[in-house]
Amino acid sequence: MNRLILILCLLFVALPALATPPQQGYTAFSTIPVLQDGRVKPIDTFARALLLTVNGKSSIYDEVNNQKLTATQWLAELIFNPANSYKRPVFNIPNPQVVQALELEWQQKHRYSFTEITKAIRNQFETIEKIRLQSEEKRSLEQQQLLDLYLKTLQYFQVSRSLSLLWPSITAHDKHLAKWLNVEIKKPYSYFQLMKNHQDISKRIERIRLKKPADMSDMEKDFVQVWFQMELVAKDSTSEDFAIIPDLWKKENWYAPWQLLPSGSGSPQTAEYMRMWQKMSEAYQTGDMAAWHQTAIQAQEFIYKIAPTNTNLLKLEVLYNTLQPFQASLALYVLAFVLLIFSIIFRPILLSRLSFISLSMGALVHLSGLIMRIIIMQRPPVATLYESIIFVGIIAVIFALIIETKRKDKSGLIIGSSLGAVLQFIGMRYALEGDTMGMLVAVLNTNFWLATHVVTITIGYGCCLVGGVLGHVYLIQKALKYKTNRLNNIAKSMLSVTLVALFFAVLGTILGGIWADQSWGRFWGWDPKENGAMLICLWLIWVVHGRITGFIKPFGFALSMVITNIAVALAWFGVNLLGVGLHSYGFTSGIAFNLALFCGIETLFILVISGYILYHKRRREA
Amino acid sequence: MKKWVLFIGKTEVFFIALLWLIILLVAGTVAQKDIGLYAAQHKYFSSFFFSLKGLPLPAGFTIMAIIFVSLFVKLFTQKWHKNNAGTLVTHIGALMLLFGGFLTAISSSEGNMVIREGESAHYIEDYHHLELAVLDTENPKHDTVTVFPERMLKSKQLLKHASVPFEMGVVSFHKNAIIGMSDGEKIINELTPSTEDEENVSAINLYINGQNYVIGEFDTLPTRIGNRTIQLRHKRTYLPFYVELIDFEKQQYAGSPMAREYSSEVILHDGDIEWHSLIRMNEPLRYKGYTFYQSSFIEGDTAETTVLAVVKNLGRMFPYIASIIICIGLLIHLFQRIPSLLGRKK
Repeated sequence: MNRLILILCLLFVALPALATPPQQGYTAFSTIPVLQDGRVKPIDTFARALLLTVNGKSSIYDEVNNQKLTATQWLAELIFNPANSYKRPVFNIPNPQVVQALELEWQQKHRYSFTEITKAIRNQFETIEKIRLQSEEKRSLEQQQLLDLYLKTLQYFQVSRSLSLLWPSITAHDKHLAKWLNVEIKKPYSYFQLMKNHQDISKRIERIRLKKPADMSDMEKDFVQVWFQMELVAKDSTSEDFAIIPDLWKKENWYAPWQLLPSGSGSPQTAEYMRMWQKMSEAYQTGDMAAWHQTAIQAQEFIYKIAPTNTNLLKLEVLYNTLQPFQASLALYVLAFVLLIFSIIFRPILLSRLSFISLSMGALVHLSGLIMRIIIMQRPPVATLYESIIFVGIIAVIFALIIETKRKDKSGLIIGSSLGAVLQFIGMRYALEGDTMGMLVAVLNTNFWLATHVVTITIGYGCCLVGGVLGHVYLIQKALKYKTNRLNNIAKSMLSVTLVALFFAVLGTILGGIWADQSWGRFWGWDPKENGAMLICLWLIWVVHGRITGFIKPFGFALSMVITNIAVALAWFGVNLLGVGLHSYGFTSGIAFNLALFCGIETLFILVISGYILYHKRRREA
Repeated sequence: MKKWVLFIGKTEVFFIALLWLIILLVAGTVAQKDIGLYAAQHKYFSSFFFSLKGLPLPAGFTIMAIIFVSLFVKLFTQKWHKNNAGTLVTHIGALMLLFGGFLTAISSSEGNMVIREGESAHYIEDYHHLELAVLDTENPKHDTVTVFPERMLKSKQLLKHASVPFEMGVVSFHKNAIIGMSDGEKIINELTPSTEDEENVSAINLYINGQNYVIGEFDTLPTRIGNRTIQLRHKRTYLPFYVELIDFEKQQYAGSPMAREYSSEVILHDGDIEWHSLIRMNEPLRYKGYTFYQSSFIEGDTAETTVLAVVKNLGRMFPYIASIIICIGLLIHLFQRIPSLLGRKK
């Protein structure tokens, strides 16, 4: 049995290594570094975040050619051949009212192209400007969504123009002018290539422009034409999102192509790098994909040699993006749950063994995802709300596996598969916000406290939730009239889980206080998040004391376990809704509704099951 | 007497007190949304009683005092055994934590120090309370300041003191107001006070020697009467030393406005001693019982201004010691109990 598990685990770890495709242009391209929001990341992450923002999904389906496009492939088209990309229906407008406000036709998949939307926005521009000038609270939901859509199109457009200075679009027709510019006649050149002449051109144009067209020589007329083309392209000079060029002196800075020239921080190597990008542009635009793939690989190897950043982490991040470990573990947890249900209904031991294997594999995948994040971000993986959800998930599953190994009565399987699946599912929703590996605000920029306080408190939350599910199991088994000694076993487990939860919760809360004392000057400030943590501690203390003194019987104890679930949900998510205090972060609209729904369901469960159990107790005693 | 002491030590009392504390915690947290953190903290936690529609209910101080006494009595009336060593140690730790909280509540003072690069300051400004200060700057060696605290700044109150050669009548005091001009005279436009005291800008209208004087918190031209200057300002606590800001540095993440870290390079001038230090996020400066934390900053064209949070707290060490003791106690208890609870199942 154990050997089977071991073999499956090894196979899983080996699979990605086997599955690495031969070096293709897109793979190389996806690992090229770009700086965004203070972090150097691979193009793959940049592309996924942008596509998620615009489309809601991190890959798209090309119906014309019947193929799937990865985020990287989509981005390549956007920056190398925007005219084509603008026609793709990628913008997601899920709210029909917003579609109506733009006077567009509602489509089944509610996805619209950039061309359609910009036309619509141009018509509604005044309205959008007025919405933007209003303060945020006064806007309606649809107005806010319309404004968000407008801002997304701006961002999309800016990125699409990143490489316009590399496109050959300027031609000299007059042979004298061509000689003066040192270029070939009737051959298109890019702004980048003509840049070195920019100052001389500007000086001469001042004199020429004052002349009447009839007085201009052919050379001068062509001069005006070339200058005009350059000015047209230069309109894109505000495009600064795609920062792919490293500063080899001030190692922290990276520049977008348009920013490099005015910054004066270029060097022979960055010029060489830009030439490679120009070759990529030319290849892509002329459809010579073989050349594009070749140049992409060259460019990636080149930048990996000169870039002042840890390039292994870039490759790891692309691997992480591709594997999607948290989605994979979600699938395995759901599978474990389904197998478990079947094993309860149909009894064969094989099903519950398979459920255990599925749960363990899920945990391994989940854990590997976390380890990858630690390596990539070089810090503990629990600094944002999203990360806390993922972390609590793995804690819950690990504890569940321990319980199952010790007790072998499927209670661990119930806990692990349900909590694992639910938490990963909630996490997925937060992952949709874009790049989940963002930089941290100054006060969180400390690995020591992240590793101690935050980790301890999330372990505490995890244990509370494990106890909560155990409470559910106890109550359902009691309602189904299971034997007393089975119930007592669960009761003992509940108590030990609660004690462990109490230890971590109290330790974590106190560590939080110490961090606050070191950072803000006071151990305790009655901040909503602090109060939430204290609430969990006090509640656990109350419940444990009640159980130990016999005040609360196992039945009441199980009910309190379910209430603990509600307390954890409120302390974890609810406090962010209050919007006050030093801990206010991680706010997502819609959370309020889901939170209320969860608390409502748990409360309903408590009322119904206790009503049922008490009613039957009454009947038996009658 | 003994009966009462034993009664408080009963577990039932502890249960009810703890339950009430939980309810108080929830109520106080939710209230923060409407009345702000500081007001909610004062109403529900840092007081003895609060009133709910006229009914007085026990608040933070009362409940924690009951819990403290209850725990204390329980600790000394129960048997000390090897078996309950874990719980005993934990309870001692909890008592220390509560005691430390008590010390903090009665002895701590905290405020802000706002210092511009190249300048120094030697006082802490209270976050919430204001004062009306009358300064006598005649003596070149030192200023004499007479201070009237905010609680005296009420309408129709007469402010007088032996050191001040005139009487001041308070016409009106406004926690949050804008001072405007009307017919060449200053007038006060009252605003609704914000729940966050940092956003409030106060103003006062005084009647002195037959004339009205409107003084605002951030007046650029000080109000002078004779050889005295009158200021409306946040309550100041003077320190026995100066803090000079040499340089404030903010590091941002590349290509992003988000601050990665900020720090203030300071020199403490204590008499003749010059004490160099670097105050950073998560790394405060501790000196003579005061602790200086990097709180925030104000951007400027020519120089930056650092905002330091300053705290003096006698009970500072208690949470550290108490936490260690509590955790040791919990660990002892866990190791004693868990094996029997996990149960061996065949």
